[in-house]
Amino acid sequence: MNEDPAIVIVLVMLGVMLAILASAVAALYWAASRGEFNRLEEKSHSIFGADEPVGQVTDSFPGQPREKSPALPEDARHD
Amino acid sequence: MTDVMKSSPQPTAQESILAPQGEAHSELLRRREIDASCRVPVMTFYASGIFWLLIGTALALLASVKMHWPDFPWAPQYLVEAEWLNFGRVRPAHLNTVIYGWATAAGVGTLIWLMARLCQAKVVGTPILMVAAVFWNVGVLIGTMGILGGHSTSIEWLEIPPYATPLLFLSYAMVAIWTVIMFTQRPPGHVYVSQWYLLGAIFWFPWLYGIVQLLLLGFPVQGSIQGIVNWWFAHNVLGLWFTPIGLAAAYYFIPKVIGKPVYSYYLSALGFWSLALFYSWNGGHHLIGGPLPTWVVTASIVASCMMVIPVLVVALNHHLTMRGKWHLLISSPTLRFIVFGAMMYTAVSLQGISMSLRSLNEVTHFTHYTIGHAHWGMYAFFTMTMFGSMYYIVPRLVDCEWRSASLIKWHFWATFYGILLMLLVLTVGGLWQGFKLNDPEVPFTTVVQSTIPWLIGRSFSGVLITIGHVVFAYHFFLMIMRLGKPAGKPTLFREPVEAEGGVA
Repeated sequence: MNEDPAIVIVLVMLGVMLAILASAVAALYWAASRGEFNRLEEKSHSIFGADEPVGQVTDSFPGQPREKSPALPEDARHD
Repeated sequence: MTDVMKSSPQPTAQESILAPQGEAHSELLRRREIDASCRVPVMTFYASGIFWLLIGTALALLASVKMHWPDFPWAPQYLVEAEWLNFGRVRPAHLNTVIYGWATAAGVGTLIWLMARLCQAKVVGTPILMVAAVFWNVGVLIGTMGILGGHSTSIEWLEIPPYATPLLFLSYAMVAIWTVIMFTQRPPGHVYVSQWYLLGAIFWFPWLYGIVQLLLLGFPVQGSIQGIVNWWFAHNVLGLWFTPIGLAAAYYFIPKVIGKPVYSYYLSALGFWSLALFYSWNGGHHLIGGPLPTWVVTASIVASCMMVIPVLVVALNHHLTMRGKWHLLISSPTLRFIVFGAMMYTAVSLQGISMSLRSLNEVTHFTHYTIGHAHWGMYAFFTMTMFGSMYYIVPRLVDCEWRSASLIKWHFWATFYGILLMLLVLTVGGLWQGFKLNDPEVPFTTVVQSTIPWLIGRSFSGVLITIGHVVFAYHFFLMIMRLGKPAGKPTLFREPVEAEGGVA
């Protein structure tokens, strides 16, 4: 291999690395400016809803009733 | 869905289970629409993944048995002597079929479903995904045939010959483009932690794969630089592709199944960004003792130790989320597989960190201990997590429940004991091998022979795992044929339960 392709490779790699770095910084900036990090703890509730609220177990072996959750009221509180 | 949280009063769990109405009902219908929209692409990736899992398992058993019974006394001679069944070909064929054929396909299937669900949007651009699935499988097929035919590149984790890799790269690029399109479909609102991981993975992998193709196959760099590039890639495939997908699944399914939010969302953010920062430096620790500048390896060891932060953060977060809910492991197949996978993630990561230390590495390098570590990560963590995800996702796509609780239990216990036995024999046997290799008094042949009982143990563990896979593939096939238990109600998975009390 002569020198030229090597230099090209290094430049390409550097360019890609800088582009990735820039995209990561941009992503962080974008997320922060959209308020993604505001009131962070509340956002963990975003996967629950009216239909599958906090406190509801959503998986069980086939043919078996869902978990009774005797401790549901206290457990459903988010620590 | 964040908005939903603000609405009050919230329905009790019992109300929503027994009689979804109003907002809950429309949400349920919406979710079913979304699930239906990803049926074809997700099931295609899953089905092909399971096909490759079976092929990869067969190749693994063959490679494992060849280590202690190279002559196969009962097999026809032409098979024993067949070139394409040499250990040197079967072993990389196993690696590539399970990494690219199984794990990546299962990961992409899970990614598609999670993206649709977390974006709360129906899948658009299904043809892109279907073309990607076809390209991917043709690429893996040509690649595997190439490896068995003797065209391996001999570069670990990249044995697939260069004539097949462009297909894989194209396919991958299509999935990445689809993910970006999908991301733009979501309504305004928060981006959940699982999506951060998925988006990270989808950006990182093409970068890794593209660079390494360029530097090792396109315009190969020379000498020991090849080693650096090779291990930079191989380690990052684990940490920046499989790990984020596995963690994305764990961060979604654990809270979702048990009905309790992640313990600390702040910790999940810290875990993500510290993984992003430290992981890509880790590959160099594979080259301890190699002909490299010492600082390269040392920098990698430092970064490896820094990985304690994301690993412990994730472990702590999942553990505290599960607190008070451990009994659900008995009743939920998804939770059983994923919690086991998440525990194994912590264990394998801490083991990996310890292996980056020179004092331990000089014993374990070039021994079966390393093979044990690889299976700990790719199987006990990633594969088990993917099984768990499939147990949750597939019934929601084919509209019927898994047919048999017994088959799921067979699958779990066979793979559970199988992988634990494999880790035990390879870890203990590998340490033993390492100490003996470092002892100049012990002849090399003696060391090799002393590993044979451990390798027989590994083959036995492989038989257990194979049983688990065959059971799972059969069960999955029943699901594709819609031979599962009919859900029977429009509100799938809403069996009345004796949930008591409301939700705080």
